[in-house]
Amino acid sequence: MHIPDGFLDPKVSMGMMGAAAAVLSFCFAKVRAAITALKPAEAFAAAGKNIGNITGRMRRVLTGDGERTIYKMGMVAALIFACQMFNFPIGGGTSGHLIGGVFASVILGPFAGAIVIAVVLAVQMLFFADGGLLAIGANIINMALFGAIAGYYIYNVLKKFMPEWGAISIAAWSSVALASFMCALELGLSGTVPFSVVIPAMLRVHAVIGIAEAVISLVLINLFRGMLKAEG
Amino acid sequence: MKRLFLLTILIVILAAFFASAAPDGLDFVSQKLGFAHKTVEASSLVAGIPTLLAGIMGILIIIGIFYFVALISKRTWISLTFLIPLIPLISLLFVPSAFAARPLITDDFYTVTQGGYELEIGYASTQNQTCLTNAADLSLKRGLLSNLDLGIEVPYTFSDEPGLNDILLHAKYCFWKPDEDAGLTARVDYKFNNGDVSHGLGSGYNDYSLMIIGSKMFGKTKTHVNLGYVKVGVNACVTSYDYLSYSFAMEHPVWGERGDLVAEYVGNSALNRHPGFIQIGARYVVSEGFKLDAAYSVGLNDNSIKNSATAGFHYEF
Repeated sequence: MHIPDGFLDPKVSMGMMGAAAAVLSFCFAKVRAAITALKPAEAFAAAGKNIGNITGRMRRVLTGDGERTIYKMGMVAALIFACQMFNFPIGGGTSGHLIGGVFASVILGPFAGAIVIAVVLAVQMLFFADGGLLAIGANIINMALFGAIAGYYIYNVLKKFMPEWGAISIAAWSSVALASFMCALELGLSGTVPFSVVIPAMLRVHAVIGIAEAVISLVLINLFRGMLKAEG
Repeated sequence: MKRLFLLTILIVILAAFFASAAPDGLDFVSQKLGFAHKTVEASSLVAGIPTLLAGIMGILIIIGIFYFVALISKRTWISLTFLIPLIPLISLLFVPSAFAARPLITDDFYTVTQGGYELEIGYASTQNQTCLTNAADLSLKRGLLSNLDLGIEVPYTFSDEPGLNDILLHAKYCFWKPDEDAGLTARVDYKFNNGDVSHGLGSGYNDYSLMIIGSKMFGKTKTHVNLGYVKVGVNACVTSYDYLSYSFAMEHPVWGERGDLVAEYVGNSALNRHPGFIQIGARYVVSEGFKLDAAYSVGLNDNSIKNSATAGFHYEF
């Protein structure tokens, strides 16, 4: 579902770029607060002579858990990148691949999950010509905001009413449907193709891809949790 | 983590052999509804490389990004306090920080196309004699006439006391251009003293400078020479802090027209033993007007930086 350059008009792609920047900076702030801690400057005074200059100030440092979180984010991102290479046929001459938003946000939380998806999209765009440079904002909104963050909150609400596997499956399917709906909206807004045609077409294809997304997300989440537990 | 890494590699291997080549959801819809022809093909770094190798490269790039972030985040608490006495000296090293096309600090004689913009954003991690600084630099230029452009540079320091560094305004006027690849340009700079000196940002002085830039092509190699005079605006000064800046750069195209290898020497006469450093780097042309770059520099004596790594991009629109 990576939108290439040429499908979106400048107002949509630039608007989405701004929205993506806002969403990502919010996510960065949230993740930064989670993986760092404020320590008084005295803790560092041993390193210097100018104690008078630095006492009373607080400094933000990376915690040990925070460092492990960053490595975990890297591992999740690599796994999603690998899975996105794996196009599976869904019949009718079409294929689909994992988005991984729900996988990332269930393992890492919604904000770190969204950052992971955005990094994967940026690497695909810069090095692999998958998704356009100007469309990166729209792709981040579709797959990181609607795929990861919205998917996570759907999972979070459903978890209270049903077993976890059910919540993951429905959230994963909905995240794909939502992302494809947003993608269709952006194409329609750009005047590339009429709303009435593109929305049903996108939803029909991605309703099928969503089923695969649900199954793969379930498998990946269980594998990931199992492997992390096995290695302590 | 090790098992997860192996699982990831396994998925890449499976994908390389068994992935469906059929169009994905959006491609399928775009073909069916007849707007697939609007696709603007981007250039791929891995075009022609086997899928398996490209996939493993992608994985290593992604894991590398996160490990780099963890590494940088662990080190940024390093105190800038020790730097305060050295600020006037160190900031002098970076006054002629305007670069033509990243990662070069040496400017070239070209001016931005009339009516066009040029945006450059870079990130640099620099090991000075006493401390590590991480800083980003944003530069925007606008071509006013075919031979005149105006630019602004906004540096931002992330280390310890994050904040804006001194902002630089400049105008470039190309006054002699015998052919496309050779010419002479004059450049006038004005540096504000907006940086908060008590927090280790900026030099605390307004600077003016005039620089003459010469460029010439030898075979396929472009060479640039800069010679500038910097007037350091110290109030009621007894001694003059003014100095000369000089630099020399070479750019050589590689991979057809897809990339450049660059090297330069940058120095000035601000201190008794002239601070100077050598930088080598590469640029990669992703698409027309969009270039990625990375470079490494190493200082030549105790008055200069120890070493520095930078990465960034250049975008014309």
